[in-house]
Amino acid sequence: MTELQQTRTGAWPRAALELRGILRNQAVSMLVILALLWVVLAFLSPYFFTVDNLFEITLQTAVIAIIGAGMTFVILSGGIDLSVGSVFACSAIVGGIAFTHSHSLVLALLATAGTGALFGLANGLLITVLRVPPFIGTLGMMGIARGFALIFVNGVPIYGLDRYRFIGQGKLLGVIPTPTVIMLAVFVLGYLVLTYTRFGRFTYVIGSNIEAARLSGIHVGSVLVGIYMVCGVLSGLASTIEAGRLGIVQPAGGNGYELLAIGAVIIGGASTFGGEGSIVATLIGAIIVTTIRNGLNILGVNAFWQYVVNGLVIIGAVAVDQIRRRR
Amino acid sequence: MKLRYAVVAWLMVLALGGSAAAQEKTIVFIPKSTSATFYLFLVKGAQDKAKELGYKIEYLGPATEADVAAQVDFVRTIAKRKPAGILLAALDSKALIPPVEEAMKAGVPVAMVDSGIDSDVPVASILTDQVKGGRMAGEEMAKLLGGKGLVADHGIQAGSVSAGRSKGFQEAAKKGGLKVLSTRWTSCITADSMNITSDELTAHPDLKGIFNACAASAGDAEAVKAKGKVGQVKIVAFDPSPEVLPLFDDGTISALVAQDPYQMGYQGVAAIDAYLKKQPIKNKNVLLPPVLITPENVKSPAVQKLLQTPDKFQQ
Repeated sequence: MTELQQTRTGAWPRAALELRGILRNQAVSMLVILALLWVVLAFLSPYFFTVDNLFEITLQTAVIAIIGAGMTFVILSGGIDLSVGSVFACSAIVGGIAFTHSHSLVLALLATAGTGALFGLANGLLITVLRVPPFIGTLGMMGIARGFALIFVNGVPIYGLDRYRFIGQGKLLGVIPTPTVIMLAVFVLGYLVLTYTRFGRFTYVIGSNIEAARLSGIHVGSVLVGIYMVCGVLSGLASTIEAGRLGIVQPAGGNGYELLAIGAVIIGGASTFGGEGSIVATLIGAIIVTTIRNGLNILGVNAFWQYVVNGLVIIGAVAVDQIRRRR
Repeated sequence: MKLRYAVVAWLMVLALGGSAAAQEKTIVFIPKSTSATFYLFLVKGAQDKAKELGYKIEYLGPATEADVAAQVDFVRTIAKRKPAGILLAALDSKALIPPVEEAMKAGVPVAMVDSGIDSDVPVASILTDQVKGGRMAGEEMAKLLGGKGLVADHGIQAGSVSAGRSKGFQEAAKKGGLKVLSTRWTSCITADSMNITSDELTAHPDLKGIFNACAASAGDAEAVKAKGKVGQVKIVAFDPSPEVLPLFDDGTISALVAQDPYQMGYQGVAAIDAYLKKQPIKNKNVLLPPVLITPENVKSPAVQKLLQTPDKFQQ
């Protein structure tokens, strides 16, 4: 076996080896897949590869990508958060109510972020204090948050949020959509936190081996609570962007976003067992999902097929990743 | 242990008994989804008639129009509570037949409002002619575009009662000389409708018009605005809901097809009351004609009555 590997390695020229090394970097290989997708779509439709449409893709990605950024922290720690879609709706509704009563955008944003943080806190405490498994705790919270979103407004959407609009529809320098800018800021911040702070490194350590983390003196409980709060706040932020794009918030909004966000993280190659993954790859994963939907829409493919394609992409991404790792 | 069971049983009896008297005077309205402001005007009509006759209206339903199974469960559960009657806007004309029949058999009269079922069992059906409303939208679109051009069709849910709106639109638009893209279904989720519109505008630079079968048209209008194509792309949509009206006023939406939800609620409650008092119901199947609202006729009193402005749903 060792012999075989050695001969194989010997047969590879040095440059090719280096290339393989780079390709093993999750984010880079995702970027290659994304580039390939764009090339194929550019050949299939003249309307795909335009500055306008590429920014449109980043704009449409922003909501899911930002939820995905929070989800990356959770999945890296070995957990899962099924409540993000409902927390998305509930925090937007609370923010919308605050806005209609106060007409203050700042207050609305604080209310939205605060609601997201509160649900994150509740999730974190459920998991650390009551020892409820994340899948079950956040599944329960998914129902609770959706329920409150509907209860607060009796199921009726809030409209007239005109002052939210610049968050969703503004453009930096006249070309870059504001949501794209916010999304990039979130990911740069997320990358810095995960790479250079203790909180970030602890997130990885807890995901790889929670017992070892405990024994090495990490206060696992408070780190986990912090992680779920990050996820909650980012869901709230994402909901503000959607409200800004639409000028209304619907208590039924965000339905199924948890699966899209988890999909983006998984396509980005993060391990569902925790400890392994990259937040940059999540961003690219989210852009891949939106690219496929946008591309199929532009090509006029029946919408029902889009579900099938999305499912295949998730399975395909993980399968390819497995093959790559086995080598 | 035994004591605990006894207490629980006693509490349950108390809860049921306590509410039984109230239930006799409660009519429950189950909409297609509580997300649509449209139904608040139906509630208002129902409440006005209920006040006259001494009933109370309760408003309960699924959160999105994609959830047929949830609506079936709602009807079954609420019928078990034995309210005075149920007003129902059916999500599916077939799937809701069994629960409605069961409710009627159990002595709870059901009146269909807005969207009916393929059955004669309900005490009355006060509906909008969905296909006709769609046709009116298609004819108006053809008129707006001078009988040529490519248009998009955003329906609510494939196979649902409201899919008739898209059917009517497709027929009339094609007859009027327009080319229509295949129907895209939005489940009336504004965010989805907006993304679909953005992508269609990118894929078809020659797109001239968009039909939306519900108030998710707010998303279509925002997408057209964001692309700077107001005026070049005409929008015709169902339901003058409060989130849509400002977009009609500023010209992003060219025309709206209005139904008369107030009358649906009002006549629905009247039918249930007549049934309970064993009075004859004059017209079991009412088809309220939809009305096309354009900038030309919007000021007329008849149209103003149909505009679903928020002051009309204060209780």
